[in-house]
Amino acid sequence: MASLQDIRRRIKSVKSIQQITKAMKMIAAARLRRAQRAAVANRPYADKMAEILDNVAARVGNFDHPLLEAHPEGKELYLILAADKGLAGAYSSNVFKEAASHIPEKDAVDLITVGRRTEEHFRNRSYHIVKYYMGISERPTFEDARNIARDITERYMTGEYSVVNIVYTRFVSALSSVPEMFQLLPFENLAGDGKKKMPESGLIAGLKALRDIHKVNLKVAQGKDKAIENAIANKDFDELDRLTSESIFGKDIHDFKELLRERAEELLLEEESNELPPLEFESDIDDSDAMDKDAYIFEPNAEEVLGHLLPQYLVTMIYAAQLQAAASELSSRMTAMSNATDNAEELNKKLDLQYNKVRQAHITTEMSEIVGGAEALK
Amino acid sequence: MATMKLQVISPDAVVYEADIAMLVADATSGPIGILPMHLPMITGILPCAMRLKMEDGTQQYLAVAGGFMEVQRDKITVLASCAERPEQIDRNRAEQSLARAKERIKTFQRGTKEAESIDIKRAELSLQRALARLKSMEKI
Repeated sequence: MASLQDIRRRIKSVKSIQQITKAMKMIAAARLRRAQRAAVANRPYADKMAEILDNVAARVGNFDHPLLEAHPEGKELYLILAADKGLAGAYSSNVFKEAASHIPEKDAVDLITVGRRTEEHFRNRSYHIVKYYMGISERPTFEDARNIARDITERYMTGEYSVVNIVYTRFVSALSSVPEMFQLLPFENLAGDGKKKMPESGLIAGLKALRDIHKVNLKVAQGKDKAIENAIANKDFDELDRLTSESIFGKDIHDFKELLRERAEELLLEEESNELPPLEFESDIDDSDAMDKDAYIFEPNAEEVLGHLLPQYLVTMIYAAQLQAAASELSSRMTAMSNATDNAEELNKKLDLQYNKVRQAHITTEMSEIVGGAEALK
Repeated sequence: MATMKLQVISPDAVVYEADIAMLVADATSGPIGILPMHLPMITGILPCAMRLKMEDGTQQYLAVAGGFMEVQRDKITVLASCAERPEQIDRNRAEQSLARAKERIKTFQRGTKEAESIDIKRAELSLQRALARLKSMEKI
């Protein structure tokens, strides 16, 4: 059995560890509040950004942008967000596991890592890390997100990569967080339940769908275009109606009519005539939902605004992921440290008991020795 | 006088919210002034000192570091990667960054060896941001 001194030493060390974990827990809790506040404060910006993108994307037809281009030949690039420091429970290793489950082969991917632990983990496993960031995991700034986004954009535009994915931890509540992956670039179909976590929701998917429709319809539409323009010029509204209600325009008939309306308005301006009713066919559109929204003017035009918007949107997505990851990290750390403190408390109780037992055993032996000695003197 | 609501949002906060009578900002296609009941519009904005005309005729300035503006008839939303009120601006920092950006642009123009490591676009943007900040302070 351990000696009294040993146990006393052990109790002392457990107590001091407990003090440390308790302090760390409180620090994590305080920082978590801040991180949560930051995530909440980011919300209006991210929401509005998504809303504007939605508006613009809905209006843009066949649109080419370096960030929408697919490079089917390239490697995959992963942006992995985890912690700088340990002592956060399974926070980092969950992210690593999630990332590993998506990575088909070491050689087929390049990594950009955020966090010291991330870099160490993947370096030790001889992954190819093209860039690493340290010291920004706990308190990300928009500037950090912008740097990362710039770097990713540059790499993506060289055509070296087919997709860019991000692995991060979604913050659910102070008690739970889920590691997740979604596709950053090219902007299109997002991973499964992307809707819940990020502001981008189905916008990109919508944008892509619209683009595809346009690709198919563009040729047919271009032919019709002329006929329609003639009809407008001749003020032949029956013909116009017939042309615009034909099914080839499919889903984006609304957009097309919008386009027509603009064109009609231009013509009107040219003629400076009030005879042509401005929006004859507007009433024909039963898509009342879409008409409720005020039509936006894009300055200088929708394509250019979208071109301006997409890089910003990438930054916004990365920033949102960073904020979530930071909150998750801190909540994991808080939980881990809280558990550690509780465990230390328990261990302390056990050791106390053991200490007392040993102490009592000592006294008993000593007593029996004294009694035995006295007995022998008689 | 008719007014409209202005909301300036940066990634970290809603920086400014008020009813204003006119807004003047630098859009990507040139300076633009917006009065209430403007048609709905979306445009990119450059780093600039936005001028706000308040209901009582006084003026205010806000430094923004580029972003977007969504205009509705009675509301303007400005999304900027960074936005500051003049009283929030650190003048020293802005002046330093102005000097630094100027220096970098000069080095770039000299075309020496060091110039290759300079991202001229970035330097110019940083110059514009610094100018926007200083401008918004001087005009109070």
